[in-house]
Amino acid sequence: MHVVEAEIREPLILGEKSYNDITEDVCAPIEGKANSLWYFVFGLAGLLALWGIGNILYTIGVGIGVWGLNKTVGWAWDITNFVWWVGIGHAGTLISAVLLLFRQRWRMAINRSAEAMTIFAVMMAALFPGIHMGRIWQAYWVLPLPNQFGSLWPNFNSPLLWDVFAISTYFSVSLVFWYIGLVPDFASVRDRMIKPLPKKIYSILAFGWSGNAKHWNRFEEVSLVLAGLATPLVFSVHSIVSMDFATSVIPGWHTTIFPPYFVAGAVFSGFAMVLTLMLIMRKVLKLEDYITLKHIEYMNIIIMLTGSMVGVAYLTELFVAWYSGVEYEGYAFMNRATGPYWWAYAAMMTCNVISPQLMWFKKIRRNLVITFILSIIVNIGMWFERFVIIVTSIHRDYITSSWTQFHPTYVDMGVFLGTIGLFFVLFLLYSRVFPVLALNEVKTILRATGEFGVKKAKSTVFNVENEFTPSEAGNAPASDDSSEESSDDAESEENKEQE
Amino acid sequence: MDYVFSDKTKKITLGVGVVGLLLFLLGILFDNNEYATLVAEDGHNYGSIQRIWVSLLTNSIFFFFISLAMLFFVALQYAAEVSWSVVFKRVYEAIMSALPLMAALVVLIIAVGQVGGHHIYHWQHYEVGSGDHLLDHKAFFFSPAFYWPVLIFFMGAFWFFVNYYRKQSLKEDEEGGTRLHFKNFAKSAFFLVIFGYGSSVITWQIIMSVDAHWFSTLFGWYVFSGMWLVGMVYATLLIIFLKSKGLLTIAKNGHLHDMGKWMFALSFLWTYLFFSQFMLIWYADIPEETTYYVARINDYPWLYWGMFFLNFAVPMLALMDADAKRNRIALVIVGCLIIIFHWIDVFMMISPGAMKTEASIGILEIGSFFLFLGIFTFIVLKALAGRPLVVKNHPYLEEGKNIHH
Repeated sequence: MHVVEAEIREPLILGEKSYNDITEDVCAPIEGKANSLWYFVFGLAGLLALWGIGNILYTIGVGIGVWGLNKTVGWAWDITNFVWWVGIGHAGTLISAVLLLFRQRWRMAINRSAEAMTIFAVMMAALFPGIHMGRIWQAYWVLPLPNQFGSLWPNFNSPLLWDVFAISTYFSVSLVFWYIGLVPDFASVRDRMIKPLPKKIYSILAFGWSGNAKHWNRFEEVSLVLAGLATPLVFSVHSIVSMDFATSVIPGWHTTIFPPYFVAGAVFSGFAMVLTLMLIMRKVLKLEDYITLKHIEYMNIIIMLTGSMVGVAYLTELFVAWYSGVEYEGYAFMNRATGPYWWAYAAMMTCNVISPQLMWFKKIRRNLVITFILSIIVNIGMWFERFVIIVTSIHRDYITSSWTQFHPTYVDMGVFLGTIGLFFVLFLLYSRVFPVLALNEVKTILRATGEFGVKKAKSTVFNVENEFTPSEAGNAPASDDSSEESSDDAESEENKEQE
Repeated sequence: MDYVFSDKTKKITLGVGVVGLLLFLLGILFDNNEYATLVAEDGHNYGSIQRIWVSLLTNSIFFFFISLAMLFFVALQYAAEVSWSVVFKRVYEAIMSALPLMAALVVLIIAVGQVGGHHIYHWQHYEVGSGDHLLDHKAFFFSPAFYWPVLIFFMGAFWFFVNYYRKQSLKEDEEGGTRLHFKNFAKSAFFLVIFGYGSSVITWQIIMSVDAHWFSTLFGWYVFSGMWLVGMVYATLLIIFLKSKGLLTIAKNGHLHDMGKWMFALSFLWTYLFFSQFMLIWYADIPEETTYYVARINDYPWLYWGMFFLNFAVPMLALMDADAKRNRIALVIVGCLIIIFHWIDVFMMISPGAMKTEASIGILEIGSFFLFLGIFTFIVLKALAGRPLVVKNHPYLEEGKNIHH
């Protein structure tokens, strides 16, 4: 049976596409040549990345004394950047796993790139604890390996060690999930390649995918298992990151709301970064028919929702800091809001709590320019949030004689800018050689949510009360009916099998 | 076919209530004597009356939460443009219809404390400036001029929205079109904002303040997750009851499966939040915070840990399998266990603070639970019988009906 979408839903694929159109549109960037703008941006990102790598090597060579850390503020930009990048990484898994469980079809247009973003962001994140160790060549000491180091076993009581496990698990599962999804799409690219060398490379990447029923069956099964594994990971990773702070007894760090609040904040910042990237990508790669205004609106709604959750958490923390009657806690929050870092606190509140409230207006949710600006504002705000939590809580500790300020050096800034450069280098390369849209998955929803005949009329006029029947579905090629049936069944099978 | 509240069912639900009442009265008469001399650390004699009020408050809050959870869920379905749940919309609406009475009971019981009828809320009887510096510090939050308007405002807002959704639902049946739907969509977003703040704030007011010195930022969300879960469980049980009568044929097994998924997922959410709150307090080991768990774990180890492990393990193990989530027997058994052990969760939020080491679950508590269950279910079924069992003209009805094969 055919799933009839409600008439009031907007189409998710515009422009009366055929199945072949989808393949053509997605493969175009891989087969074509990059324009000069791409080379310009790539060059810029590459320069930033090189500057960052230089600073990292300088840090490793000389020691972390080249950062602005001091005896009171032992954690600052490095951990801020770490948490910021890990948080950004959350959107990919949320889109690919959690939205799959919630049967959100709009995820299919953005999951591939969001997962790529996740993987690159987690790589950037992992850099910071690594170089903060000072002696990065001994980084393997964080793993519980049988060793000759005597008492130097990792401390299992430390949330920092839990973090090692959480993030490495997250990275592995995300990578595998992403790659499995890519296999059929690599095969589609392989089959279209003419030049022998690229054809060879894509055929290796495609693992000999032939597209027969058995392959699809295995593909669906393994996707389900991985989605089931990835969903708890969305929660666990940032919960454990929050425990790096919340298990301590430092005012401003130790508060029970941290785990869910960090998760909400992570999804918040992750979706902002997805939007930043998607708004550029859909334009440059001409994917406006797939990543539609409706997709952008949905992402904006998630930003508004998670932003509001973060807002509730901020106010809860403020309230309980007063309500608890704990002087130190009260002072920590007074100091945040009115102390020497008031400007960081004000930036955090404005960017994270107030600016997403603009999304209440449909006009703004669907405005590309404002959305783009807001997505960057949210990313700035979330960086400041981590900075506020980390630095303001420790720069004035229990001993007033050691109160101090944190001043970043050019190395601190250079490493951070370098990771942004490196991130964009990776993402720009990805956008040239990977199918940036899950093209085979998108095809499965074409008949149900594509813009055909009746659906097209409905997208603008909501009140028409016609019966929508499959026979009216218009341009969809009749010969594809059977394959559409089976993929639809597969999808419902998939939903049924969840969890 | 619509639901008819038959005489037999009426007798059963009222019977449950009456049996509950009898047990409750028996408990008061015969099981309550040993509490007559319960004296608090501050020298206040609780008297035998305290236990009765604690059980009434526990049940009022527990059943109020079931209604509130359904109100939240309906709003969420609008805001998230969900279609599968439309087939159950009338069930959710029936459950929320008990909210006014339950909210009124909660408010009433707290008001009785305010005028000296019981001693559940320590701050109600504390004279500001008489030596407890924490309560002095919080005096503003607990002052009647602040406490009551805030509580009444949120309760009133919930009440208002229950009426709103129930009225709109019938209107949509008649009117059709999409005008009402989009209006509901906008109202739901607005409600969710009120709920986002309100659910935390009233939780601090009516539950966290029982342990008036204690605090936890996560407490509001933790209580919310348990409440949402119990609401979904109650709705699932009601749906299975209706299906067993041969009604609600529009809902396929897939729809039931979706309810099962919510039970499963929300059990994990609750466990996650329980663990987050407990672990962070245990790890940091700050006396101001650990008091809450010390009172529960030291004095009620079996009840408290049993509650946690069963609430975690039963849904996880029993509902892990996809087929179990659409198996009516499995859902009923797991659902009943969840209701029992989440009732104990609410009981354990209130009793150790209100009764120190003297709380227990005897026939008084069991009776009061059945008393409330009977009344609550009677109201729900009456509301359910009062209108068609399935909505008409909902824009997502066709899609929701056919989403499962």
